[in-house]
Amino acid sequence: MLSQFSLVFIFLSMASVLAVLILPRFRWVIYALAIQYLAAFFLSTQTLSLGLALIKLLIGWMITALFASISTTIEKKWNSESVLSGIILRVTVMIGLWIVLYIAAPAMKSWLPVPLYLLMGGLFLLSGGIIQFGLSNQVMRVCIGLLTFMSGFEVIYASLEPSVMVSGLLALVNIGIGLVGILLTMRMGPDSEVVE
Amino acid sequence: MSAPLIWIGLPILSGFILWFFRGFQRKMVVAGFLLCALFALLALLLPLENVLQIGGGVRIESTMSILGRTFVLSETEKPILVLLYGFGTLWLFGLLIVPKAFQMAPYILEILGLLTASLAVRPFLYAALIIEAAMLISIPMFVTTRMKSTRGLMRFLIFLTMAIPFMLLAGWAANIAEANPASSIFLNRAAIFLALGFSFLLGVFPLFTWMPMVSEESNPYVSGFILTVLSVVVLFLGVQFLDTYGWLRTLFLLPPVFRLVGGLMVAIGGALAGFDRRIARLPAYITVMQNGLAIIAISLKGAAPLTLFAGLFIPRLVITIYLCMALAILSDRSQIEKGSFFSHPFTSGAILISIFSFAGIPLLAGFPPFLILLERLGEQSAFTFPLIAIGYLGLLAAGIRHFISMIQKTELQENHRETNFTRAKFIISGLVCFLMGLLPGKIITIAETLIKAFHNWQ
Repeated sequence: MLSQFSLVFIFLSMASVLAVLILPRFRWVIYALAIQYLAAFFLSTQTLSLGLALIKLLIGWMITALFASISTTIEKKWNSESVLSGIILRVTVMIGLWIVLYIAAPAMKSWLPVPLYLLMGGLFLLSGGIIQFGLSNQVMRVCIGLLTFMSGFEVIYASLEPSVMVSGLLALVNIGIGLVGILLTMRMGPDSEVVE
Repeated sequence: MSAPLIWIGLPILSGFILWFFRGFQRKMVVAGFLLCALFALLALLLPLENVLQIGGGVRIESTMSILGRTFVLSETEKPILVLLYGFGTLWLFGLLIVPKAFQMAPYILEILGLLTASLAVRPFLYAALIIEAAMLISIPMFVTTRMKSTRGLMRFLIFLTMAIPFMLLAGWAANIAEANPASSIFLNRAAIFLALGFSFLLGVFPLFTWMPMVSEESNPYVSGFILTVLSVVVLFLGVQFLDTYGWLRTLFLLPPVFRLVGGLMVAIGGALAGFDRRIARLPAYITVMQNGLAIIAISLKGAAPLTLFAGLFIPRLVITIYLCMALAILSDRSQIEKGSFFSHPFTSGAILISIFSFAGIPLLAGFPPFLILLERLGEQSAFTFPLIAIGYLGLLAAGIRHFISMIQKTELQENHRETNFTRAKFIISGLVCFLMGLLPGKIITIAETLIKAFHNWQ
């Protein structure tokens, strides 16, 4: 039943990735991240048990809530990367990459025996993560990029190996990345400039 | 009682408890040192799977199950534990003269526990996740020891996280390949995924850019520990993977690819060391070179390539401690090495000895395994020689450049001087460095013990 709506979830994940890339307010980005985890949850339920997928969603939302708790610290610096030229660059690169992935996905399917819509959903998220951490030096942008990357990979990997232990360890890694982001933001400042 | 509980559970727990004693820094370091020494001693002395006559008789099992997965530390893996915890002990002992890095003591125990878990976990595919967890734990260690910037750290985190998908996919493909050995498709896929995963973890060219950045931005004693311990564990893990999946070793492309990649790492690491004026980046370039040499050693055929692989580690671990300790002391100066010979003669001497030792100068610790490697390589692959020559010439040039900088007069006012304890420590370390160069037989004997864990390969 849910697989019929897969296209909706894929578009939802793409929209949330784009929103994280371009939105000028960190508070809005947090909402986009929460929606992204929701989209990843619906995609994961096609292969994982509902309980396991739900745990992934809760972990994601937990990290989102943690980020929300320090949003005032990040808000100022977040705006500095929201100039128009930067936004145009990020969106162009992102859409270009998605077009390439859309064309390459059937070939990739022969490497990874995963349903095509899951593979595409996962790859779109994964590539969104790479663009996020590849085009910024800000600690929080890098951490959100890594989390997006991991959630894309989890969508793909869940249909290859729906193991509880791997899911648990991946959840731990996700929490770790979130906590590291918060720690570095609080101790070193929101951007990664030299702090003496 | 089980071996994984002793060498995985207890170090993590003791590190966690030590963390609460951050207010008593020197005592915390001493306690960490004693605990780490205890774990190394236990690995040396405690027999596994035999009944010990303590109390009513205790038997230490080699396996432990958690959530249906097993952690295995058998008798053959004990030498690797001795190496890891021995290295941790020496590192914690060195910490006593690097007050700015005192905070890293509890993290060392936790990281060693987790990295041991990555070597012990079955099936192998969980190792990448455990390594990532260990490295995530290491990040507060960088932050609490006054890191200057987070650029390198972020890149470190990115590269390490990017390794996870490839390692997990490699484990998945390898399991399918084992179940269906007639099909070569999954064999090749497993090999490709594995190569990509290890490239990210080991900093294979061009994925090593985080190493010099982290070295420069953080305390050399902290970054040196992470660079070394991560490389050593990942290399052991790679060999363990090759040992478990025998078909991977027989892939005809493997030896030439390993030699090319290893040779490139040696050449580029050495060349960058030669051209870069910043001495703080040196441990990173040396790590790249040493990882390259280890990869070349694995590629060799015939007489025990694993012995040589393990033989390269022993001097490497000792000299790295020596180098990072000296760099951490000099990093307190406003210009790290300029004119340091006049204010810190023993520390500066230690840096030069370690550079020249890594550069394979005769009579120093790095020479014997380097000579054996060159001999074996000469018989099997001459094309790797120019790459190694470039790397070693670069490192020699770096040594000479830093020596010249150290003996230059400077107008700087020196606030810090070497203490007698520091001097004694460097004299002893220097002697150890010479002794290792003079007694290569001992290194080979230890190396042969270390590789007992990889019994399928021998």
